[in-house]
Amino acid sequence: MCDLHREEEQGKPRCGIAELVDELTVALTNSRIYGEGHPRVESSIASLRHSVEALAQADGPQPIVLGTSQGFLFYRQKPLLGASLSSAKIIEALTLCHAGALSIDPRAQRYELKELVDLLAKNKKGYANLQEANDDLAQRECKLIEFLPEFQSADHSTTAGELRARPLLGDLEEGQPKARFKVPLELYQQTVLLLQESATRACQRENIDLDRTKGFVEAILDNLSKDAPSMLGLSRYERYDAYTFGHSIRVCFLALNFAATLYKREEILLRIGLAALMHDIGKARVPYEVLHSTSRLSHEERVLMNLHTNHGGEILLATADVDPLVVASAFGHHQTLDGGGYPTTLHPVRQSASTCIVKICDVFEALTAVRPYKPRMSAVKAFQVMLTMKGHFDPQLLRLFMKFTGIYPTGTIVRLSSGEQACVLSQTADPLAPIVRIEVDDLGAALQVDPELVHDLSSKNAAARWSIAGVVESAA
Amino acid sequence: MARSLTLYPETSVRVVSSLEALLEALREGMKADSKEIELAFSASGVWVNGELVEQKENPKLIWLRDRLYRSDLSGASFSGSVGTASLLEFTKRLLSLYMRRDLSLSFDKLWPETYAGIALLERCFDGTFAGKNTRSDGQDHPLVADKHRARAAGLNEQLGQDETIRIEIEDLQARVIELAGSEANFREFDLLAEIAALLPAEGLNDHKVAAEMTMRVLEELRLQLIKAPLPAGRAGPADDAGFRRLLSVISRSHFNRAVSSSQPSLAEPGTALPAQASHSSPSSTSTARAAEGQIPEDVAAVLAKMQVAPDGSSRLPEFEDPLEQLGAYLHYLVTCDDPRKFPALEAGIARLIQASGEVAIDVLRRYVDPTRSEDGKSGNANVGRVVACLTRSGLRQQLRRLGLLNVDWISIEFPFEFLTYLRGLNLDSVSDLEELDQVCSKIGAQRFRQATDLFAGAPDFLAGPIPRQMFTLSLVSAVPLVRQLYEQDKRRHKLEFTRFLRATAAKGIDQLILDAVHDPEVLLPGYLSALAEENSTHLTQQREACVRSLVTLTEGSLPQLAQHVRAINLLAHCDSQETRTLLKRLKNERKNLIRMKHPSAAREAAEKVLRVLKNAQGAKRV
Repeated sequence: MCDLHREEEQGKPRCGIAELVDELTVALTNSRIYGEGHPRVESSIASLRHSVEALAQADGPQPIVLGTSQGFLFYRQKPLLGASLSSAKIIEALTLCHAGALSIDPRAQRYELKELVDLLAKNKKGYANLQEANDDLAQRECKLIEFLPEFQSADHSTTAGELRARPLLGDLEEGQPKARFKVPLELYQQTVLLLQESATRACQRENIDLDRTKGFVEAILDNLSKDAPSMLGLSRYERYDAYTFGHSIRVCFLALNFAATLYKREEILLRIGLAALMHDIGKARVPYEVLHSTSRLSHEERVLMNLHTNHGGEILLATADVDPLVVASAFGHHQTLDGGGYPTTLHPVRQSASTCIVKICDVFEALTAVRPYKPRMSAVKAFQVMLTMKGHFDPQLLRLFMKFTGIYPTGTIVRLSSGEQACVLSQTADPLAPIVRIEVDDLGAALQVDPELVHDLSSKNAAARWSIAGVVESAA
Repeated sequence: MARSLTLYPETSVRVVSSLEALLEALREGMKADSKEIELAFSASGVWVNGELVEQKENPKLIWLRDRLYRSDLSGASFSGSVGTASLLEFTKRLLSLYMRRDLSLSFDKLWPETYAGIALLERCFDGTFAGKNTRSDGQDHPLVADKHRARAAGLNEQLGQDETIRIEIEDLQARVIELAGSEANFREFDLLAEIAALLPAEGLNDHKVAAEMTMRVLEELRLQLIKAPLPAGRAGPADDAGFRRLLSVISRSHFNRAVSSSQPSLAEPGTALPAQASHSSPSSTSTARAAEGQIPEDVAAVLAKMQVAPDGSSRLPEFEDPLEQLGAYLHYLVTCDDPRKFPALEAGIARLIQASGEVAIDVLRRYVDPTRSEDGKSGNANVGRVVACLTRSGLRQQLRRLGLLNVDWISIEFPFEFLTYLRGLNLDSVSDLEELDQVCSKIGAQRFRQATDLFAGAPDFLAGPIPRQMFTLSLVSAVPLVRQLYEQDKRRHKLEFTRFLRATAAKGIDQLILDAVHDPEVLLPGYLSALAEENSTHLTQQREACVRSLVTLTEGSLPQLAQHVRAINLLAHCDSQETRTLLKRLKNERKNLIRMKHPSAAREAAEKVLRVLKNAQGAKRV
């Protein structure tokens, strides 16, 4: 499994609520793909049980209450932004149970967790009310797991332990910097769900719904045009990339954002966005153990992994009226212009700007993302690595991408020389001096979102007052 | 007010309102206490009009103190004439001085302007706080001791005394002059002073940190000089401006990293960021960097590449390339194991070829070149699939332009792709018929004969319209081919094949035989096969057997008497012992003939044929 994720970055063992959420998401996804009793489902239940135990060791023996409200997961009065990104399945499942929270006693046995996962995975129509959902749990002999009611008033706080919805949401009130993630989060979650569904269908050799996917790309494009920094900034919060869905979404964000500087026609952007979102759909047919291997892949495993580009095209070609541009990107995004990479073909490699964009964003995202085997890389280092990959990228497009991305990519939180923290909103002609919005003052207090806090660091006035002193959180 | 001016433009409502609030507060204070309000900082705390009023660590006051210190002020005295304009200008100057690089400037240069109603209190001596001191005007006021200014002024000198730095500097300067060459426009400049001027505040307060930062920049500079020549100046050859820029970029990059990795997060836990966001905090960034130790962060190199990024006039690849897509589709076509997917692929390929135009030929060629294969070893087994696809899609013309599906290609490839070729024929077209004639002639009967399984395993083709059309053609060259069709289902095609042979292969006696046959069922299959076979050694034998069989089959049937007699007459061309025996029997067996209406016709014919045969034999002997 994916046990070496993220926390290793901080040198800590995996024992947090985010890991529990990850494992629950994986268990739900596996249960839906493979069905009850499959070894992969059993394995993910075991991991879930392990994460429950680990969290109890860290936080104490009281029941673990995982709340949900307005698309967020909450734990101990904190919204779990990162964990919420890929957890739409959990949120959706809890909503269908009319539950505002899920309470798991750390003493819960493996069979109880298995029943819980089974219930959440199979319950697609929902229950009439919370009682019915809890009755089902009881019938399954899940004595130490309980669905808790939605939190509409503070009265429920006693039942829900420390979880209270209203005060928590206060952290995300309009005007607060983090509140801007509300809409992108929902879109992100829904896109993850869509990709999960597509992957499931691809695994089961069913056709995927590209029309619906196109609708999501439209929504992403729309949101990017309104607030690209928030969309791109979300990427730094994701902790777990179940089935690499998050990677595909982020590549889509990056590709659309970049392509928008090259092309004005929305139709072109939508096609590129769809290509970016679906470029790794072939991974749905890569054996789970290979896809989620945390160690170096053997030759045989590498061969299987490399087949994902072939699988991707096949899956897409099975769909009626598929856009050949999307097929070509899924097929060719690991080919190099000098004839290297994979898959090998009889014809010399030609790549359109669309495929090049997807490829550049794919590699950039992969380098700058946290992976089980590597920490996050800065944008500058990622560029350096990409510059050494001779023959991989169209040199002009790569340079344009670098120029567009800048030393501090859009969505990055930087520290200004005066001590404030600011979010990079867009780039200027000076790659070291982007347009920023100050979000946290130099004493650490969050500032209300205000157009007057937006500064072009390349302007003479702003340059006299600020320069970027460092990166706090990378968006890339 | 200063804090709001840090974040917002001076025209912002927030700045204006805070300015007004400050002015109001100052005026209120003046009314209550004195005509002036003196605000100053010391190590002990905040002093207002000589009274220590604040000793706690107040973040906002620390913030203000830091800015005053960086401006060489311990405080300021505000009098009644102070106004919004002077307050604003003073604050702006205060904030801009916080960003300054050159820390060696004197107080007069730092504060050349005067501000109405504001008297500046200079930090004027080193050492610890000494309580009260005398101001220039003879009044007492609190002064603040700090080593900061002394440090800033002496930093350059101190760094120069560091032996490691000094050696490195001397070495580098020599290398720069050596690299620059005679054409360079270098004026002498103090490398250490340049670096010191770029040092951030974090390096100014601590000599050790400053020395470390300086050494890092020097090391990076040395690395850059090894990797690349000196940067060119604006006019061409290297100059000190280009070198300064390189130095500036290197310094900025290193100082930024040093600052970001050494500073603690300014955000208080839980106030601004959700808990899980901490995974990307500066501490984790530095951990990540440690793991990335193999790749030094080279901002200069990245910036250089960015600078040569194409502008809008540069030609970029098209956003879509039908050839790229065609390549992918062809790849799938030749590797796909599921025939159900062929139609969709074929439709896509046809569209893409049409969209690509002439250039599609180059890609197509790779997939129909018999010598190519994906692994570069085996032959290209995919030609047929591609040819079939294009043929079905009505793209024969494209194939011909590739040298495929023409007479020579087909005759060479035969029997491979021959069925595909046939499928693509339009047998109503004269040109296609002519081509088929040429193809069949070129292949020749022998090769057709060798390709016995030409149609085996192609029931869909056999059930289609082309075979039926082939039987109706009168192409002599196609006899071996049509025979193959006949062989697949003799019973079904016997009549058609007989007609075909009548029109093509049959000559002389064989034409007479086929004319005499009303029902092809009576024809021996072996005879038809032999007839279709050019230079068959069995034809005579088969012919005789066939005619004798015909005679026997029509014997005794009054309705078939005429046919019977024709068959007997045909025996004249089939001289053999068996034929003579048969003729003799026919001549002598009256019993059977008695029942016929015209029994004598058959007997007479047999007698006549026997006579002809005898005469022929006699003539041979002579």
